[in-house]
Amino acid sequence: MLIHKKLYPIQRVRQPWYFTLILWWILPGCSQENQPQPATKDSQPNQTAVTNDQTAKDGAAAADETTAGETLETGSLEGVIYYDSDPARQWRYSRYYIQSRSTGELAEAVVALRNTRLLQQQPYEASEPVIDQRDYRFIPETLAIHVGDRVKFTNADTVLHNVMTRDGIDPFSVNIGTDGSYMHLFRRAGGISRPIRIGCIFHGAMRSWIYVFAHPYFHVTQRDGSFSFQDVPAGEYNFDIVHPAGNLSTNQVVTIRPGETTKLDVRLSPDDLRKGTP
Amino acid sequence: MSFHSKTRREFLRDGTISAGAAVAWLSNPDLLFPDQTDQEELVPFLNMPRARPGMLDWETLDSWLTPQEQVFTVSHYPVPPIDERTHEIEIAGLVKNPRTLTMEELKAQPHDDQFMTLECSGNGHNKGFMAAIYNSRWTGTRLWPLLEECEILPEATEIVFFGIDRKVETLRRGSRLELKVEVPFGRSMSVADARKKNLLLAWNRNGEPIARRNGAPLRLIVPGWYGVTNVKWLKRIELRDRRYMGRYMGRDYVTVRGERQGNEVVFVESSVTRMNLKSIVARVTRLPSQNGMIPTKAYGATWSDGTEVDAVEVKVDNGPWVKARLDEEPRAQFSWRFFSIDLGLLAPGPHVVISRAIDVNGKIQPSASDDEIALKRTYWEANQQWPREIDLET
Repeated sequence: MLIHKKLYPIQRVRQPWYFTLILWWILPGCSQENQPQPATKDSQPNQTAVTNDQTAKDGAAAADETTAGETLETGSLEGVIYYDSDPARQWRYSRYYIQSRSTGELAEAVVALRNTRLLQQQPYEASEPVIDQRDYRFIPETLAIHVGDRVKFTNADTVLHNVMTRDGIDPFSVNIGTDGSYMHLFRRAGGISRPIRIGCIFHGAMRSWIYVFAHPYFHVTQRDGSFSFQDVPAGEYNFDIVHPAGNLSTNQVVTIRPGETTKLDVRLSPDDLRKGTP
Repeated sequence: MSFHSKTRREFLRDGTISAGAAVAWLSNPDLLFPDQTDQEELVPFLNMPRARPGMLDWETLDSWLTPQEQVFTVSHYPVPPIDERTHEIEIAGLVKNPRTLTMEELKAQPHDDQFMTLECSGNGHNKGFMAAIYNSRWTGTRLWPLLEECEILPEATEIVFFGIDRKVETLRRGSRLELKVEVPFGRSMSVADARKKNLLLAWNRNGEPIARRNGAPLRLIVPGWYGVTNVKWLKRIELRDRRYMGRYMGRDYVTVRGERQGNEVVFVESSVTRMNLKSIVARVTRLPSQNGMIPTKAYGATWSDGTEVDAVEVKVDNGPWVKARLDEEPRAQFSWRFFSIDLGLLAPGPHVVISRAIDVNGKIQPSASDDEIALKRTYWEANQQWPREIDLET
């Protein structure tokens, strides 16, 4: 079993007493059941036994039967993610993610392709993104990375922060002082279904989600809600959309045709709530 | 009585809202303050964290009674499973007739409602902890009649409220005299303070059973006192003739504040008890610009320990303090009161909007630089004025 906790020990932090608060809203539930899951009928795999791309395995049942042949031909996929508001089911925090209620472009949604074909090695450029702690927020709140990427956590506030998670194979808890930083290597892809949920033990309202993929076909939407995947091997894929802060999740099948750009706009609504309300 | 029968707007339109009807504000958020119109757009505050479920969302504050999904929880000890069917509340110690009541027996006592804004005493200490406050209609039975039935003995001076939650505490940590002892969570007050008629043993909030995380099946409610006083999972009420000095009375939730005595600053430690006078700008809104200037309004809330708030004043940048309009209804002595103010036409660009409350005794909510806050060395009782930064675009 490829679990190397000894190489990446949990850095335990003794909390001041006044932070030993049971804040019921910190990383809600700290259980998988509250987390967005792909809207497929897949059974949940055994997490501890998996060291490869969970995303691709999740998608196997839905898409592997229809995967295109071993062609190297590629196509593109692009579109926009929207959110259709429902006055009867208001999303109180939508103001952070939707710039225009009339058009509804949805920011900070994670979009990704899923297919057994993606288990194969795909070229990608390693990156070293930064999650800053500023104004008692993790910025960005939602991040998607490739397995093997390192994330640098920094603290621009004038107070002591912490970055911690109980998820993944390397749970950690590290205090970060002003202008300090901590780098963490993400060694396993949990895909769309198993994000690493990040919090600060000192400030329970701070939270962040890191999605780790084993292929390069993922994206976090910006304010215009758009996404674009280039050089995608032709074939049929599950196209997953998750908005962790909004507790939204949906997916659909999409076909990438050689040499073509497939357009795909997706409209989410309160019907796509995973559980409860955002 | 239905709590979902009318929106606030409908009440306003009908002009029928009253303190008694305040419960109807519980639901149906249209995310607007009473005076706010559909045309007004929210001006986001700068340099603030995002609001989250489980805390009050000031910018969309729309319910005088706070919906459950915005109710915060702070707990200090782990809570064992509680079965309401077997849960009992004891009244013991220096009373002539000690008594143990089941929840069923307690609920058979006369019922009463108590409106109260509950604020964590650390709320407002920093921008990351600005929303630990909510307003409720608590339902339960009054404490004092029960205590009278038990006949408090004359030597009793202190009343202690213990929860069912327990933890091992370490005293004098690291010294030769280190002591570990398991204790229940407790808070206390003088018998004189408990004699006030408004203390409640509550089992309902806003007409629904109290959520377990908020203290079900039974919670002490002390109007006008900070959140920690309102002991959750209440198990035992004990009359004593000595000052109770449990951790959360005598060691934590202790405010250390410098006080000027002549030319000297003397630091005094006091237990966190009554709430301080406070107000905050909850949100700023705007209309489309007019000749390059932006019509702007501000809305907010004010609260205290029950002392009537006489006025709320709002200031923009270095301008004068201007009196805001305090809502007449809904209103209850220990609940927050909403205010609004037309800030007029503001120039495009950054501004700071700030409010201060003034009570009927002339006490003014302090600024961060006033001694009351500047000489405070601890986290709690953070009632300073809170500047809101905005940036108006044409």
